[in-house]
This record gives sequence, structure tokens and C-alpha cells, in this order.
Amino acid sequence: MMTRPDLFVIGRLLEALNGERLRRTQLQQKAGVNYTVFQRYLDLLVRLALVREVAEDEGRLELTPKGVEAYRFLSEGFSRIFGSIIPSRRR
Amino acid sequence: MLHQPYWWRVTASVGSASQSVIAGVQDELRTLARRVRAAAWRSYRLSWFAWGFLVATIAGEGVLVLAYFLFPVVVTTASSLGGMSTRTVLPFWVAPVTQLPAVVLLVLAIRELLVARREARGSPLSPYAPSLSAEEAEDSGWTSLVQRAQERITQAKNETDWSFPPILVGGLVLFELLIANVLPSATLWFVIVPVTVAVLSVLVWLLYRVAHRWIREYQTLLDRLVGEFGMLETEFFGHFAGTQPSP
Repeated sequence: MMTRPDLFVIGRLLEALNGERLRRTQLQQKAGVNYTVFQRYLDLLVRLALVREVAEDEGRLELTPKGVEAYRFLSEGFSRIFGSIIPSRRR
Repeated sequence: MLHQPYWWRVTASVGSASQSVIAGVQDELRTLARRVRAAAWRSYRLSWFAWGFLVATIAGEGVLVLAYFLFPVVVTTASSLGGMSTRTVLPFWVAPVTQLPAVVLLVLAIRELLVARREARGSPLSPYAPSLSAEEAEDSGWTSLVQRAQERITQAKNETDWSFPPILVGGLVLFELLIANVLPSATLWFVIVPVTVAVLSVLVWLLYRVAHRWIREYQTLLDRLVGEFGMLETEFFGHFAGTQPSP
């Protein structure tokens, strides 16, 4: 059992929903995670109020404003971490 | 010549794929994990070649002794006192033939180190290099991928470290024999041993330096990634959840 949420899985789900409303199956496929993982993480994201179901749009899922902020935070964080990996080694 | 660092390509691809930053980073991480796996595979091969080299040098010495009985060549020479003296020598082809396997294995071991360094700098991997397991390739997370890569590079370091003692011991035997053949009139303790030790020290030091540079590059990168991601996780959950929940 997973003890700590994986930021990459969270990031992929938020990224898949960025600017889009998707059905659950579409989101799962777009994020490329298996069903068990998807269910767990979707529950988490809803609990954290990063994702919500839009009742008037057949229950499609979308990012909340907090979710949009979280996605920006993560994408900037990932870019910063990888952007900082410029070698200062002797070649 | 400056080599294009592998990490530079990671950075470049993240910057260019702004629409799918996270998926892009994850793809690059898988590529990195595959490179680490290939590096561990090179270390494993290096270890086999190194121990094979030691066995081959010892076996070569054994065959050399055996050759004195099987193919003896008796040489008679006139001594300075006017008498004749005889001694048994080996046919000229015995030493090269018996030491050839050891030399081949040493060359293969050195080649593994050099190829591992080249691959760590971004050269295409060998088509025979192992890929990620299906589980790793499909893993949508970060933790297991990076943890496995860290385990592999630690294992690669251990295997590489343990490859040097057999290279050192086998090298002493082989180089002593080579130098004794090149300089037949040299004395053992004043010429052969010091020259052998000097040549071997330089060779092993150079190889050790090559091996540890690419291993350290991978270790430094992975440690940095783990550290910075840990901080990002703490910031993320602190900011968006106020805690660290489990899904």
C-alpha cells in the first residue's frame, strides 16, 4: 500500500485536466495511470478541493481555481528542479 | 572538445514542452532510469571481465610452467670459463599464447569502462543493454523509479570497486611476465618489480578515475533530484493540504 502520495501522479492528473473537462475514463487514459491508482488519487484531489465534478456537465471533472494554482505550482517546481540541473562538472 | 551533457537534453526538452511539462519530465526520468540500468549492466560485465582476467592470468602462469615439461627447448651456451652450460627455455610462442586470453579480457574490461563513460555522456545505448522492467516502464509515479535507479547505481559502484582488486593482482602477474620478456637481462627486484608496479599503478589509477567519474555523476544527479523533490513535496502538501495525506 502506498504511504505517501506521489507528486508525479498528482501532477499528471492535474495536467490532464488543465483547461479541459473530462470524463473519468478519459482522465484516467490521458493521465496514463491504472484504475486503482486513479481512484485513490482522484479521491485525494477531490478531498483537497483541487478537482471537482461538474454536475451540469454529465459529471465531468475539472480543476478548481485551487487546482489550477496547484498545477502551476507543480509545473514550475518540476521545471525549476530540472532547470537547475546544469552540470558544473569538468568535461 | 566539450561533450554535450546528457542533463542538458533533459533541461532542453522540459523547456520546450511547456504544454506537458510533467509528462515530459517523466519521460526523461524513464530515459535516465534506463541509462542507469545500462550503466549497472556495464558494471556487471566489467566485474565478470575483471575476475576472468585474474583467473586467465593465473591459468596462463600454470600453463607456462607446464610448458617447461611439455615443450622444453634446451639451449647450450659456452661459459666464460671455457666450459659449456645448458638451460631449458620455452619456445617463443608459449608466452604470447598462454597470456592471450588474459590480455583479451583486460582489453574487454577497459572497454566496458570507456563505453560506460561514453553512454553516461549521452551516447546511444547498446542494443543489448537491458531495458526497464515492464513494471518500471508502466509506473506512473516517481518514487519507485528513482529509488530503483539509486539502488542500481549503488550496486554498480560496488561491482566496479570490486573489479579493481582482480585487475590489480592479475595485472601484477601479467605485467611482470611481459616486462621480464621484454627485458630478459633485468633483475627481478631492482627493475622488473618497480617497473611493473609503476606501470600498473598508472593504469589502475586512470581506470579508477574514469569509473568513479561517471558513477559519481549519476549519484550526484539522483541525490539532487531526490532532495529537491522532497522539498517540493513538503511545500506542495504544506501549501495545498496543510499536511501530508495518504491517498
